[in-house]
Amino acid sequence: MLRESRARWLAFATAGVVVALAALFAWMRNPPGEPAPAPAPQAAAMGPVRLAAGREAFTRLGCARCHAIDGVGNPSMPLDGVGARLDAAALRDWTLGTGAAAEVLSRGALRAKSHAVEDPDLEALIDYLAQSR
Amino acid sequence: MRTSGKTTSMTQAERNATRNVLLWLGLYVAVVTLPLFALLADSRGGGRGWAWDFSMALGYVGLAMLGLQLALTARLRRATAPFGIDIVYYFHRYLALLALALVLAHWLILRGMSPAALGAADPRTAAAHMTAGRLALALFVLVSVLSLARRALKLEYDRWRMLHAALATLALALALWHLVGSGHYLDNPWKRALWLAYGGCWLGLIGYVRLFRPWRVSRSPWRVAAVRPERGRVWTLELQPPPGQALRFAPGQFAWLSLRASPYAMKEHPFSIASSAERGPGIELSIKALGDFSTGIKDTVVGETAWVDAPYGTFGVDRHPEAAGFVFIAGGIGIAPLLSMLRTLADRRDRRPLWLFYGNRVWERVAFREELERLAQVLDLHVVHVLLEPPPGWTGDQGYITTEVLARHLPPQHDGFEVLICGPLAMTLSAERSLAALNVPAARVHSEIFDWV
Repeated sequence: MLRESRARWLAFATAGVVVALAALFAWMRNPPGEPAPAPAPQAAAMGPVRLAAGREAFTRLGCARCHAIDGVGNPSMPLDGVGARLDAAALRDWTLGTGAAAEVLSRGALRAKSHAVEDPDLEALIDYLAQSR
Repeated sequence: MRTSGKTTSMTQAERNATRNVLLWLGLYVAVVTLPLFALLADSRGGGRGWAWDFSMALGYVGLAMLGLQLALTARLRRATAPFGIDIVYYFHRYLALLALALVLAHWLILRGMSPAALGAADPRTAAAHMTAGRLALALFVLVSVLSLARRALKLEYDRWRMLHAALATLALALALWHLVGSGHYLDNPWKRALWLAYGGCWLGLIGYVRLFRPWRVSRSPWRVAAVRPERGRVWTLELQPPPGQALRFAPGQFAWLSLRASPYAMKEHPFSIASSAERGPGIELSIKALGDFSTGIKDTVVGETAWVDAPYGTFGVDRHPEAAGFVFIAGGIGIAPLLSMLRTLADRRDRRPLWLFYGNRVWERVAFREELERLAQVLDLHVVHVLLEPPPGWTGDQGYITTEVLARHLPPQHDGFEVLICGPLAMTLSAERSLAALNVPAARVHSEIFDWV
């Protein structure tokens, strides 16, 4: 059908342009010159069991929805090397949404972090973050 | 599109039409992608890897396209005019599937890259906005399946339409919640405000389509002035506007009609206007008893209230004022818009040569055949009846409107003629093929599809 195939052609052409622009958007945010964010080298100072417990808590508590570490999770806010940037007290505040972090974070982020305090593996999680340097 | 060697140069009108088409498509692409590019301005942090950002971009544009689906079927006259409303509805259908594919790709890419980033799938432990996103995706799939399989599922048109509107609105609201809730790119208040305003526009459109337009229709109650039976189970409804009002339309346009239902009830059906555009103030709709609604037309009572939203459509002789003549091809009740054109041309004392090829099953059920005889005396009109089951002694054409039938009656020289086709899909398809075989340029062939809803 002349008219239906015309409509189909218009729709595919339009969608093609839209997808190309989406690709352009991604390219503009990631210019080819800059290297892709690579996971930082691992400094394995923890025992493997505790390391695994911390890593497991990272996904179980939903941290990965907003953060990535060792290539796991949302790369928007990478946590690779966070152990070198924050000391233990600051790490705890940012994990639980307390102290200085409470003043900076959005309500949604604070709500998301509020469950961490009850988790039995909280300390393992903080150690896991601390060893990423 | 196929064109013959003779007339490949575009006329001014065709150039304008092409320009309008490109203008509206460009506007569509801009409306879909500009809010995405606005996110680039003043953004914290760098890229998150090409694939990640691409997936996010697909989510944003996919949702923007799905939101704009409403605008496509909102009967915005200026936006649909360059295309024709049937094309806009097909466009709506194809774009819905393409936008759904983009949103599915958004989800699949993220899942492939990092399932942990999606969080738990169980709604009891997952973040609410992630559950909203998953639900929205499932609802969009459901809406598409219901639309594509409506006939197979035996879903009644009116009920489907309600369901379609309700489910699509719910899915859009959930998707917007998902977008603002996850909001990794909406990192400052004005971006959040921009996308919320964008969502507000969709709500505004819903308000316009479902509330404002029915309200405008409800202010002018029309009246059924006569119900006349015609040949072939066709009924003509004569409708009169409220005193002091008149409907100006071009022959070939159609009206949305609701009977025995409030204009807010979404129970309107599109029908071609069959009467002359030169007579008023009322209109006539000639309706064949075919579907759920049209079968009930014969029970309409004189004096009943009718709700009329009109005129719509771009099919008709007035779109081609420079034509040297017209060839009309009708199948069954497809005669209705063509009859409006013939009656109008007769009232205008138009002297251009006209041909009408009119296909029907049996002679006794050829609607308006007596009137066509009268019109042939006023106009330079050659009526060619083509019957599938001709009566004994029939000397005219029989079978379908084939290339041979067209070639036998059309003058050898038909440059500058415009061809208008209205009928069942199979007839329209075959007529288009025949005309191409006769070297009629595709740009001169115009068809109206009457089962596009």
